[in-house]
Amino acid sequence: MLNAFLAGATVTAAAILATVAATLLARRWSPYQSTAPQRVPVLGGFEPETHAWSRFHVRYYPMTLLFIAFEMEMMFMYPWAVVFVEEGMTALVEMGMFLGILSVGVVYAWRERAFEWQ
Amino acid sequence: MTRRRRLLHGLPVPVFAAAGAGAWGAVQELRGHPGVRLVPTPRWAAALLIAGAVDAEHLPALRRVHDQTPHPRTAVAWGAGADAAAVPVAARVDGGTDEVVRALRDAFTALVDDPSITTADLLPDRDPNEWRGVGPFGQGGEGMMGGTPYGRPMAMTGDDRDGLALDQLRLTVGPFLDALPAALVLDVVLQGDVLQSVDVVAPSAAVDDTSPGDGRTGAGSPAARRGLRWLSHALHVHGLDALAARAAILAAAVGAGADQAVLSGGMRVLHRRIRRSGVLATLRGVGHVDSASPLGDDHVRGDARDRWVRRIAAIDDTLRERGQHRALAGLPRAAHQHLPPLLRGATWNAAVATIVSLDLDATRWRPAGVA
Repeated sequence: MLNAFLAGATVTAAAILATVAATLLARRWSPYQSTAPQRVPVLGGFEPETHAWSRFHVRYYPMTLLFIAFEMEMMFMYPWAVVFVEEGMTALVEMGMFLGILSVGVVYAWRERAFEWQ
Repeated sequence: MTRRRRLLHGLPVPVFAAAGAGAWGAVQELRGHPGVRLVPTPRWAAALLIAGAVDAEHLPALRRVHDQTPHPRTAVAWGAGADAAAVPVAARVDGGTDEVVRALRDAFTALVDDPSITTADLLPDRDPNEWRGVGPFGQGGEGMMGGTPYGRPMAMTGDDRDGLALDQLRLTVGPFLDALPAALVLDVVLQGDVLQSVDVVAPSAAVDDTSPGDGRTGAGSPAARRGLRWLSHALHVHGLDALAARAAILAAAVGAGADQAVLSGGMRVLHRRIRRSGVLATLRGVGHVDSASPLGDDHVRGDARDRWVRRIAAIDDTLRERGQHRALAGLPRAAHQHLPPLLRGATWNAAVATIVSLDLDATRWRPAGVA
């Protein structure tokens, strides 16, 4: 068990080391550093007045919410169906609680009119 | 000579073209040339090509584009008037496409052999505001919105079309933006990718059918050549660079007075590949102009797909010398004022597709006999 984690940790450490080394070497060997005009987006001759940290509407948000509410539910119900006969009442109550929590998301999506097709 | 240098010498030169008045069309024909590769942003370029005369009002923009080309870089001016541009150039060319490609290749080879000849920066290497280490979190000021992180203030909020108050990104795009016609400058307000407002700051430049250097219109039909240059740029904007190169080669062949059968054969192949590429389907419903609109001329009406189909058919007909140049005539300069209502509320890529399909820079060219 520990060996499996050790292998993962080794690979992660190697990846971080390689990234840091590549960045530092590139910075050291590159004869040119980017200048201030090169650090802004190319607009064809003008500079942006504000920078691009702006909040905008994530339009796929209701779709994501519905995906989690319905698809994730099904994903957990398949393994649950396998152990249901074995576990009996306990499994039924647990799944009831899980569905209860998830249904809050569905109700919220309903209130947000995510089910109305425009 | 090292192996690396030999490899670099053989590469097509990555060129960003800043086209001034009268040179935009000629620049499009470079897409078909194997010696250079026209890149959509100065960031990818090793050479800046200043084609044609750049208006004095666009010179600061030209200097910025020059500085945005990463080191090591070189610059070549093409055509008369290009030397007024106040950008240091390695060469000035007064010739056709082959001459300018040769000059670009020579400048690139010299740059590979000695990167220290890179052109000097013209703008100060300074952020517009002091911000490093200023403020409690180093954001360049006090409070949530008070800072100027990375030297620029935060975007302010405004109502969007869905009744939300979201940040507005105000940008001025052009005059050397690859996807837009030459010299067109737009002030846009974006929320996400939706255009909330559009203002035309400077109209697009008039397009001549000549090369900036030699002043020749070419042996073939200027209408067909114009149309093919437009098609080359339009295909490039939609990501179909192989087809764009094909259209550019056809445009150059028209200019060289190639045989009519060869031209219409080439156009037939190109037309088939455009149909199969699926680009026309993506243009359905984009930039719809109805007949009540002031833009609602016969050859502008409908969506972007209709305009493409009409123009491609017109190029085809012109190559077969069947006349019908109307659809290739482009829009009058006054059409710019009708652009903002057409683009407002569209996403950025739909707006670009609309502008491309309208062929705005045909502001001066008219075929004989058309008012």
